[in-house]
Amino acid sequence: MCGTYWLQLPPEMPPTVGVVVFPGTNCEHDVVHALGLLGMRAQIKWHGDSELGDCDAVVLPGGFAHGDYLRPGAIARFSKVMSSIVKMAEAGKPVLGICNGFQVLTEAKLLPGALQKNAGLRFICDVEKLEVASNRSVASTLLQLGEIISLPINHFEGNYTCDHVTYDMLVENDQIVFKYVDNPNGSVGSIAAISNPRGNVVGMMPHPERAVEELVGGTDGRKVLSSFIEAVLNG
Amino acid sequence: MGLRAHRRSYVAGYFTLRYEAVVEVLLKDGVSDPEGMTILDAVVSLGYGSVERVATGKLFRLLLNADDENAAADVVTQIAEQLLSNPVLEDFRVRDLLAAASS
Repeated sequence: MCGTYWLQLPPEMPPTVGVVVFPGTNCEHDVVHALGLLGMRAQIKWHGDSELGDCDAVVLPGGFAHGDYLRPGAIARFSKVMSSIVKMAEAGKPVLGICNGFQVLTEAKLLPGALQKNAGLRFICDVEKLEVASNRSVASTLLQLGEIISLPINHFEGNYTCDHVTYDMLVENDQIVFKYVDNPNGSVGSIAAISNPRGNVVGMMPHPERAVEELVGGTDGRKVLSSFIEAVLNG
Repeated sequence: MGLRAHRRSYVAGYFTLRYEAVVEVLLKDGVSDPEGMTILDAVVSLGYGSVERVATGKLFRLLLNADDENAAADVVTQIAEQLLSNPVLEDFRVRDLLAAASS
C-alpha cells in the first residue's frame, strides 16, 4: 500500500473490537450485531490472520472451533491469531471469551481451570439467573455487586472445574465474575464467568449477545457488553 | 523419508529408529463422564449387572523417529502433556512404546 493511502485516513480510527472466527465458530454475527447495537464498531477476524493490530479489544465468540476436536478449544489455541490475543491480554486490553471462547481461553492458559462436560449428562439450552460476584472485570463494571441478571446458556462442556488452590486464588483475587443462582451444570462454586487477576480477560459460559433485544427474551446482556464497551473506550 | 517402508529412516543427517507409541488419556477420578455412565446403563441393560463402572477415554497412536527409546518416550510425553491431555481434567499414560516393525 502506498503512503498516500494512509495519509487519507482519518487521524484517529474509531475504536474497534475484533471478533475472531475459527472454523466452526457460529456466534460471530450475533456478537457484531449486539456490539453495533450498543454503538461499538466490530470487525470479524479470521483466525488465520495473525494480527489484531487495528483492534482495541477482542471477543472470542461461541461455537465449535475446529469441531471441538480433541477437546473444546484445544486446537484453536494453536491458531495464528492466538499470539496476538495473548499480547492484547498482557497489554491489559479487554479480551472476552463467550462459551466456546471461554474454553479457548482456558486451553490457551489465559484463564485458569477447565470446562468439563455438564454434570447430569445433558446439553443445556436455557435461560439462567446469574449473580454478579465481581464488578471489577471488563464484563461487569456497569453492574451492581449481588445484582441478579438473566442470560441464556447453550453448552455441553460448561462445568467449570479447577483444583482447590486455584479456586481459593480465584476467590482471593476477586476473579469470579458471575455465579449461577441455580447451578445448572455442576460448576465448582457455581462459577459461570471468571476473569484474570487484572480483570481485563473474561471468560463466560452464558451468551450476553443473545440477550440484547426485548423481542428475543431480555436485555441483560446489554449491561455486560456495555461494560465491555466502556472498557474499550477507556482503554 | 520412507516412513512406512523402512525401519531406519534418514533424518537430519543421521539414521534414527522408528517407534510406535500408544498414549492413553483418561478422565481423572471425579470428572464427570456422561458417555461412560450412558454406556454403563447399556451394559447393565444388556444383562451384565456385575459391571460397576465404565470409563471412557482416548487413545492416540503415534509413529515417530527417534535416536533411542528414551528420546522417543520424552517426545511422546511432552506431546501428551502439552496437547493430548488437559492436566486439569485428564491423566495420560504412554502405554506402549515399541520399535516399529519394518515392512
